[in-house]
Amino acid sequence: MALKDDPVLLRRPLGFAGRVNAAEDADLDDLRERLPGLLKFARTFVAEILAQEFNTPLAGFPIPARARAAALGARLKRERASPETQRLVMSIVDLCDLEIDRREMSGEDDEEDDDAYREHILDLLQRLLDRFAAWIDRTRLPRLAAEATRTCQQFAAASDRLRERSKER
Amino acid sequence: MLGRRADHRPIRPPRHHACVAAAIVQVLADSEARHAADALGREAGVRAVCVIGSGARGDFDAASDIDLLALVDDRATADRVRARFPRAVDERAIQLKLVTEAQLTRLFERRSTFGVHVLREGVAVIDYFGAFEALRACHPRDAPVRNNREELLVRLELYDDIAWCQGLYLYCLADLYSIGRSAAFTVLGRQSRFEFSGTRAFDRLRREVPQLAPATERIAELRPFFLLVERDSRQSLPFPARDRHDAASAAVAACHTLVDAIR
Repeated sequence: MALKDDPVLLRRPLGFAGRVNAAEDADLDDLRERLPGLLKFARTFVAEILAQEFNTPLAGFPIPARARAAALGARLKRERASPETQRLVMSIVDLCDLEIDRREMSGEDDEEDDDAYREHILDLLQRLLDRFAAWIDRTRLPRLAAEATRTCQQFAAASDRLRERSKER
Repeated sequence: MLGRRADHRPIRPPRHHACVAAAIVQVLADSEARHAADALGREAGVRAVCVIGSGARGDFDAASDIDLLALVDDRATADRVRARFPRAVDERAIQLKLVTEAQLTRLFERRSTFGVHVLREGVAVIDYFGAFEALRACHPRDAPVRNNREELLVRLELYDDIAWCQGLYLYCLADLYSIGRSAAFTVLGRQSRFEFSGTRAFDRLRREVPQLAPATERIAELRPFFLLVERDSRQSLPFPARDRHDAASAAVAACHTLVDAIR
C-alpha cells in the first residue's frame, strides 16, 4: 500500500483552518483559533505517510508515537535513507514533542502559553509541509507533489499574515 | 521534611468490581501510582503531587495510565523534572502535568472539565506545604463547569466534510470520541452532575437524558479507536476504521447532537 496521488489529502484540512491555502482575506482571528485543530489533521497525515510508505503504524499519541517515529528515524539513518526522508520523519518527532510539551507543561486559558503554542504550531506545520514537499518531489506522485509545493507557499504566506496580526493584538 | 504527607491507605478505595481480577488490577495500580507519586515528590522544587484520572476515581483498568499532576516552584523546575522523570512504571505509562501555582489557580478558576475534575477528585498524595489543598479550598466544588460549546463546534468543523480522510478514519473516529466525551462531561457538568470517566458519563447520560441515548451510544462505541490512537491500546475495534464513511458520518452527527445539548 502507498499514498494516493490525490491533492485532497492536503487541500481540505488546511482549508478548514480558515482557508489557509485559498483566501488571503480569511478572518485571521478565526484562523488563529483553529490552529490547534490542524494538529489533528497532522496526526492523520503523518500516520498515513508512516504506515503506507514506511510500514510503521503510528499510535499512542504523543509518547509511544514519538518513540516509534524516533526509532524509524534511527533505522533510516542506519540504512542511509535519503536526507529528505530522514528530515521528514524527524519533523514528525518534533510534532509529537510539541504535543507532549503542551500536555505536560501548559496551564489552561493562559494567553502567553497559547501564543507560544500557536507559534510552535505554525513553525512545525511549515516544517512538516516543507519536508513533505521535498520528499514527495523525489517520488512518483506528481499531482500530490505539486499540491505540496503550492501548500507550502500558501501556508508560509498565511503564517506571515497571522504573525503580523499577532503583533497588532 | 516540612509539611504534610498523606498516609499510606489506598489512594481511592476501589469501586465495586464484578470480579476479583478487576479488584486486583485496582490494588496493583494503586500501588504503582503511589510509587510514581512518591518518586515525583522527591524531585527538588516539587511542592505537591496529586493523583488524577482513573487512579483518583478508583476505576483503573488494564488500559489505564497513571495520571499525575504536580505543583512545582516554577517553569525551570518543570523543565528539569520533565527531562528526568520516567514516563512508565513497569508496563504502565505515566502521564504528567506540571503546573505552577499561577497555572493551577487559572485551572481552578476557569472551571474546565479537567479543572473541576482536579478540584473534586484529585487525590493529593504529597502536599509538603499545604499549598495545593489551600488553593483547592478557595474554589467551589459544586459550581457548574464552563460552557465549552463553541470550542467543541470549532473542533467539529474539521469533520464537516470528511472526504479529506480519504477513507482512513482511525484518527477521525478517535477525535470524535474525544469531542463527544467532552460534550457528555459538559452536558452533565453544566447541571452540576459531575462525571469525569467517559464510560460513566455516557452511562449516566443514557439513563438521565433518554433523547440523547442514540447519539451517546454511537460515540461510546468509538472508545477502542480513541484508546488505540491515544494509548496504543490493542483492544479489538468494533468495526474496521478504513472505508467506513457511513460510520464516520454518523459519529459526526452524533457529536453534533451532544454538543447541541450543552446549555
